[in-house]
Amino acid sequence: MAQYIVRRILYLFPVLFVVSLLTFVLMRVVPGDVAQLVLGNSATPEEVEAFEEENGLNDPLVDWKPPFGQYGEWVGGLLHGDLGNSYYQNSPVRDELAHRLPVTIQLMVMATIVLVVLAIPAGVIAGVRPNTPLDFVTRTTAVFGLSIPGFWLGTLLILLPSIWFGWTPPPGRVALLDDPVKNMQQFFLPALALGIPPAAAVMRLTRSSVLEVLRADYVRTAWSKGLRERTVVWRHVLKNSLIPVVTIIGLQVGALLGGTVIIEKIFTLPGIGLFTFDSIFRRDYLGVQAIVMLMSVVYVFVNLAIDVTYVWFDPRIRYS
Amino acid sequence: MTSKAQTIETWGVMQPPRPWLIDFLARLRHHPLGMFGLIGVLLFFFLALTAQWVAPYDPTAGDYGVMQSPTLSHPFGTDWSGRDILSRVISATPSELKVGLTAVFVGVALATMLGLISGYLGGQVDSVLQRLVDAWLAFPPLILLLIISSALGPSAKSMTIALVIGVIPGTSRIIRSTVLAEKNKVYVEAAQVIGASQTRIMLRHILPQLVPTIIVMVSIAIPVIALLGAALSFLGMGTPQAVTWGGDLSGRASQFFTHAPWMAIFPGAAISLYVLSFNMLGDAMRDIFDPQLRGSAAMRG
Repeated sequence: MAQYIVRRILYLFPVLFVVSLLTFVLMRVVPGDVAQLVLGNSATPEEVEAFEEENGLNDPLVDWKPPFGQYGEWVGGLLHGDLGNSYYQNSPVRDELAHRLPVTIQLMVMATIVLVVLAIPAGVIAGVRPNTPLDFVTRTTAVFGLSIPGFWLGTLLILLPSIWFGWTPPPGRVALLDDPVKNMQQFFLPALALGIPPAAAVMRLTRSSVLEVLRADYVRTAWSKGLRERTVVWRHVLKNSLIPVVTIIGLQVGALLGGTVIIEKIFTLPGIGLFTFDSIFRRDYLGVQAIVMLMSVVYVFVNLAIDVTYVWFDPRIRYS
Repeated sequence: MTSKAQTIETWGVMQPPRPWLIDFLARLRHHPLGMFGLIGVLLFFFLALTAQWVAPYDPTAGDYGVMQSPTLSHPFGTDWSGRDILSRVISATPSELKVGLTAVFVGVALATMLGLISGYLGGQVDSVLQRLVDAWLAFPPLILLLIISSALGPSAKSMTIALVIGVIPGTSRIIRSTVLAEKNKVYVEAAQVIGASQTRIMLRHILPQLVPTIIVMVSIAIPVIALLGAALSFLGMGTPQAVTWGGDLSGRASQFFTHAPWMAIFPGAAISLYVLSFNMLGDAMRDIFDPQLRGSAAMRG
């Protein structure tokens, strides 16, 4: 097991290397001159030149001798925990991320709670009672949930309360510990908008997984022993049917991370997603590169963690 | 009861198999949701082909009164610069369908090639390609697509390319796993024994076996890509002047939603109905053609 984890972690290096190279190259081919964007149209060619010189934008992109060009310098910085400076705030990207991370983490955690609370009970109930009206209603709701774009759901979640009750989420952002009530008012709707679409996908998977496990021999044995339905479902069906569900939730983390870009923009939450959007449009290379690296690291580690927890869920699985 | 009797009778007479399309439509009758999906999909195709004649007004002419609520002459109301929303919703269909479907077909075709090569050749080629796909999947999809379409400049073409790149990695994984299952079967061995080239085995022997998987992947990808495409237009990545459902929900328009909610409701409802139709038709197709893949959510996200 330990060997397996070590090997998986070693596998992550080429993956993250490719991600870093890809982001770097992609950001450099984006047309638009960052110097011109920062300094504005009134800047003279000399000022632009000076800005580029100061920020190392004139260095070769990749070079064979140290410090290996802009790419080498950036990766070298990454390994020391230095993400570079934002061209706009002229402050370290790391500080910007540290400042914004709590917002995005809270949003993601709450969206995941929404997802689990909606998807798993509904999926289990629909799976245990297939082809009943209840199943039909849950499944139809799920197809609707899969078909609604997150940004429209978010727009409606702001719009409808403001029309019906004249209520909008309080502006600004309050930390959870400073004022829990106000904080929840700010985060509840975005978490719903972010969590509902993936919940529909997870619900459908839960249902089909439960249906499959219900057909297994050991479940028939459990029934024939005369166990109560509650015992069969809780003790025999649930544990095994949730294994694929956990994987798919892990894969949804990627979708949730991407979704924060849209949801934070709609609800103007000052998190990582909004920063991503702004950085892409302002050609703030180092900002985008840092975010993509951060998100990829989170994604690969979440999925590694899920593969490892399999063993805990299902002792039959052995990694070698 | 009657259906059972009919089945027995059919088997008794040994009728020749029906053409697959007729067979599919006959089975679809027992799928009310699938039927709904089919009608929706046909409606959108119809609108896409006839948009310029069906749209009651010029979608870009702003002379019908600003932010009028829905009336008989403007069933969806008018927007902040006095344009007819129904006409805008209809006029957006051709480009939405063209971008989305092109991206899906090109993307699935490339993913099939990638999956075939990686799965059939195996070894070093497979390891390298799969690490690439790993990296590709580790990129948050929406952010990758945003970077690519902003690298290529806002236009329908660059959006199509970005969406193609969104389709490939997940799809190629699934194609590859099907190839891995196929390549050890006897018919492949037989072809190898008589000296068929690798290209020939891949294209003439394995590829036809992948068709069911490819159909399923297309049916899953269309709604997913429609949603991603709408999100990209929402974030301003479409052609600036073009009419898109996502674009009408963002930018200046969003300031006026509280005064004119219909501006927010109808374009969004059009996206949802479009995606819903393809989702329901796709579900029914998977139910009918391959019961094992029922409720599959492999590619979402």
